[in-house]
Amino acid sequence: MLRINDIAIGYSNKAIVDGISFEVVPGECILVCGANGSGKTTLMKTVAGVMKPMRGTVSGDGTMVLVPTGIPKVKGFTLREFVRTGCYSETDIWGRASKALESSIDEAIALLGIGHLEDRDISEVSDGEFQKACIASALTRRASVLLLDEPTAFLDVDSRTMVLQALRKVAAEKGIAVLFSSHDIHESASVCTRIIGISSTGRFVDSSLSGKEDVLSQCFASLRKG
Amino acid sequence: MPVRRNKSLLFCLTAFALLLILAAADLSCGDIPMREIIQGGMVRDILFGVRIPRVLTAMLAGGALAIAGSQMQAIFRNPLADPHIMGVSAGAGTGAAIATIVLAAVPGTMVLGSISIALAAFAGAAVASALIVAISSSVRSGNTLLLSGVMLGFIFSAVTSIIEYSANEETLKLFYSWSAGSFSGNRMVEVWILAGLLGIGLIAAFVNSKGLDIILFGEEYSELSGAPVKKIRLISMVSCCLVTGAATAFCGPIGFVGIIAPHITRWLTGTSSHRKVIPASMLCGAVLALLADILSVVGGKPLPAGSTMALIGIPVILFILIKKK
Repeated sequence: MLRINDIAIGYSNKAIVDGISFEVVPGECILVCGANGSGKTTLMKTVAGVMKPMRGTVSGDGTMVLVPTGIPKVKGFTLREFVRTGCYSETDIWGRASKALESSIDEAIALLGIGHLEDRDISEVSDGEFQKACIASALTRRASVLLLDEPTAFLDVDSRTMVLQALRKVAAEKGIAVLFSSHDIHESASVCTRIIGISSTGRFVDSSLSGKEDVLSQCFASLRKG
Repeated sequence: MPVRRNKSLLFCLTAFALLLILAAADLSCGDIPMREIIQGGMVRDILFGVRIPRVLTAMLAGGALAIAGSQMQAIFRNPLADPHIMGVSAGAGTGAAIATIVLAAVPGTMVLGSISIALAAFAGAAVASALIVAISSSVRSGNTLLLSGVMLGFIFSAVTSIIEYSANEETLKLFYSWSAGSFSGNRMVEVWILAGLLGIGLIAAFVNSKGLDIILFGEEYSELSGAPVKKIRLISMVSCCLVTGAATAFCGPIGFVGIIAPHITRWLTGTSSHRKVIPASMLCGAVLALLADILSVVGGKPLPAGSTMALIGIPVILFILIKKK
């Protein structure tokens, strides 16, 4: 479904990490870990197609959707109106969605368990609930691979758990491959099916090759260093 | 959602009713009472020649600046952005000053017509807008961008002052009265030009409303959702230039209406959706401008409408700032 073949990632001709190869199949929930500045966000953006790899290829079937971090909760929009903004190119000139699109919005909202909040102003929902709305917004774009950069950043414990469980549910019930970066290694590791990361030595590590424990230990080392 | 739609409709109806009441009151303001104008056969000269153009100018200019303010607050994601604060009005002023003072002073050149002044103001607004967009591409902080706009305004004001310095006494007097901000002194031809440019700017803003909504959630989110951010910004800035250039050319620099009208609208309607905010802000801006015009003449001696608008606007802005802490 998604094939990353020997890519190098970096900025302005300077590679941060080289020799990254892995495959992702539908329904996988993958944690991407590493220290600050190790290249997690660059890897996510390269996989999503926002940045070009310096070498190698990224190929896959379906749509890859990246959910950025730090989307503001703008007052004056209901949660449903916000989710609808995710399918910008499919709505009409006034931002109205077709019946089919409204149904997929209904489905995404229901899957994430935020249906009771759909008419609530987004400035009034919790950060965790808003993060779920961001995921719902990405789902309306018919994502086959969902990439989330630090979806649990700045969230309290309850909200963090709520978002991580939602990600696992999306992967399991929709068959969507989910890749998310996080610093909350322990909590995230408990919900993910696989871990990939960038070690303290700048090497790409994958739990499908060396086991979850090994990758985690390398990530812990990198975090201690970072 | 139905509650919100009803609130928006109620706001628009109330604003429209207020607009009619204030327009009627503004029409009656002046040394000569309305009854004398009608009985004395001065309908054509005073009512249609002076008072109706002034009321229509106030409504159109207030609406124009409110449209510009609501778009600028979205594309710069800053609640205090408006054409006056961001230096676009000052750019339009410099353009208008070049047209009225420099070219009028060139021997053998006829004083340029209203269309030329509007075009020059549009060009000035476009230069200021291009500069502010260029600055915004390298500045992340909203406060820094706002300060950059204020600085840009100072630069344009300084250029305008230099142009004024070389003007003759008569032109200078005209320019001073223009720079204080006033809705009077325009004929129906200027009103039609203002209405035409406002119409184009309004249509551009209205068809861009979906883009203005998504851009509030950040550039990255907008781009990842498939929104053409550069195109949205360009359409908005062209719309802002048209309406600000026209309003500034015919009324002088009128500040604060562009900031407060969108805030009042969002507060009263409970929505930030530009499909509703743009037309409702336009109505609100027209009401505020009429109110400022009435206040500028009720004391007997006419005051600059720009000053009365500041007296209305500054307390509202302070309230917004304090509320946001």
